[in-house]
Formats: sequence, structure tokens, C-alpha cells
Amino acid sequence: MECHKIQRELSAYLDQEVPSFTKKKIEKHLDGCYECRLKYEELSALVGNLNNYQSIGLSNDFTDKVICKIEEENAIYNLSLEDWLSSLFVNNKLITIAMLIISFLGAISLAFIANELQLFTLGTILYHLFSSSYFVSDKLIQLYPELMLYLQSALVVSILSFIVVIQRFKKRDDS
Amino acid sequence: MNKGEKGLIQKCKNGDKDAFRILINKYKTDAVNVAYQMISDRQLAEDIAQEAFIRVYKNIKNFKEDSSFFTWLYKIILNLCRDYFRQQPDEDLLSLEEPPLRNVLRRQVPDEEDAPERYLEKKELQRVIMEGLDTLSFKHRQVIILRDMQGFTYQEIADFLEIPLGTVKSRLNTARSRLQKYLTNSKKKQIN
Repeated sequence: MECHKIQRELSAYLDQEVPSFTKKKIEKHLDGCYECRLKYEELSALVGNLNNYQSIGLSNDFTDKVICKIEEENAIYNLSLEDWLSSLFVNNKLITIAMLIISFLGAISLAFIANELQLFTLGTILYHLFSSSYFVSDKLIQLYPELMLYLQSALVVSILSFIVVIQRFKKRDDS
Repeated sequence: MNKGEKGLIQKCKNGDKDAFRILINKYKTDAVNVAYQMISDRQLAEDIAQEAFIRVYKNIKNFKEDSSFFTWLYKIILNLCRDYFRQQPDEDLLSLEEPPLRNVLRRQVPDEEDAPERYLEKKELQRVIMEGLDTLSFKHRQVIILRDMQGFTYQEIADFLEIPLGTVKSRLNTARSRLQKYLTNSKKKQIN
């Protein structure tokens, strides 16, 4: 092998990361080539110096600083609304599901009311979307008029729970 | 990863700050040193290590434990260092090409018995090595630090940086030659 090829392999040879075949070739070449041997010795000295590199010390309060910063960030509670809502859902699965069902029923009652007022096309659309076609038929309301009352109370509860959620979110922001 | 460390990580996942404190104490010196070797600024190195630990804490729930904790921490530190390099304006990179030889201690006649002199020599050599590292590109400095200062094997570096083994070999060879060249030139300058 020529010198430049050998010199390209010296680094890996020094780290014993060359196949034994190449290793023998390099050793043979080094025996006969003063320039490459000098390069190898220089490289070996450099790596020795790098290996013995003294580590620097660090400030005593390093750990405290890190913990302090973590606590600061936790205090700011840098979460987005979606993150907060998802954490709310994970922590209070039952309550959130109940709230969602109640809100859904509330939406149905809104549709009913809108339909009864006969004011908006939107009301009619919502009515058909949520109520008559899938869940609650007109006849059902006619048969059990108190069903309307339940739906309306569900609407009230859903509005109340919505207010509670908003308040809790505001509280989180303030803290 | 040993059992004790796994237990600590599990505790951290449950939000135990004392467990995290133990982890920080265990790895802080290595973390600061690897950052320092990358960017040659003591204060900045501490800041980067701190930021790395904060990121670790925030994301520890997502830590899969298929690599060692330290490898994970290492990757975060190297990414932060790389981001730091990217943020540097071009003039700074140019000025790194020829770092000023500040407070050059002229080499005296070596005296084996003279301990303080040897200490100064060693310090001076380290300083020149650090300057030399500064002249290397980020990827070259990275392999030198991982191999020669942190003692990773070629295979580990290849896995770590997600590059082929052959690339690790050639990159390390180039990096070492450039550093060697820098040291030789700097010695010549001191003698003249």
C-alpha cells in the first residue's frame, strides 16, 4: 500500500478498528516507512492527550438550578388549552363523559326549542340532524311530553358545566 | 441500564423530583463536560446541560428505555449544541478559523522534577487542543469528542449519529489529521 492509503487507515488502526489483514499490512509498512511511523506516533500522542483531557468542574448549585427551573416552568404551567383539556379528560374520565352526554342532550333540546319556534332554518336542520331522524322522534315527545323537560334540564346542566370548565381554566391561568 | 437506574427513571416518570435530583447528580459532570468540549464556553456549557436536563424531565414519560439514559441525554445535549452552532452568525464562524493565541505561555526547557511547570505545560496543551477543536467543523469535533474524550466505540458512534461505520472511520481520521495539523502549526508559531 502507498503512504497516503496507509495514513488514511492509521486512525482506525490506532483504535484497533481495522480487519487483521489490513492490520498486518499497516504494521509491515510502518516497519519500513519512517514518515508514516512519525505520523502514527504523532497521532498516538494526540489521542493520548485527548484521552487524558481533564474534565472541568461545575458550579455547586447546578442541580438546584435545574430543579428550580423545572419548578418555575411547572408554575407557569405552560400548557395549551388542548393539553389542559386532554389532561382533564384523562384525570376525570367519568365526569367528562357524563358532561359530554349531558351537553349532547342539551344540544338536542336546543334543536327542539329551535324547531318549535319555527324561526330558523338552522333550527330545523339541527332538529332533523340530532333528533327526529336518529334519536328522539316527534311522536315520542307527543307521547311523553315530560321528555322535553328532561332535555331542557340537560341543557341547563350542560350550560352550568361549561361555565365551571371555563372558571377552572381561568383559575389555572391565574395560578 | 442497571436496575437502580431503571427504578429512578420509573420514579421520575411518576413525577418524583428527588429521584430526578439523583439522576442529575450522577450525570451532571459528564453532561457539562461534553457540552464544554463542543462549544468551549464554560457558562454556556452549564446552560446547555441544564436545558438538556429540563428537556429530559419534561419528556421522561416518553422515554422508551430501549437505549441507555445517558445516550438519550447525550443526544439531547448534542442537538442543543448543534442548534447553538446554527444560531451563530457567519462572522463568528470565520473568526474561529484563526483563534487568537491569548496568553501564550512560552515553552521552557522541560524539567521532569518541576511539577508546577509540567502542570502549566499540560494546561497550555489542553488550551491549544481546545482552540484546535474550535477550528474543526461541528461534525468533526463531534466524532473526536465521542471517540477520544468520551470513549465510545466506532459502532456506538455510528449508531448514535445514525451514520455508516465507514463514515465514522473516515470522519475521525480527517478530524484527527486536522487537529494534528493545527497543533503542529501552533507549536511552530510558539517557537518562532
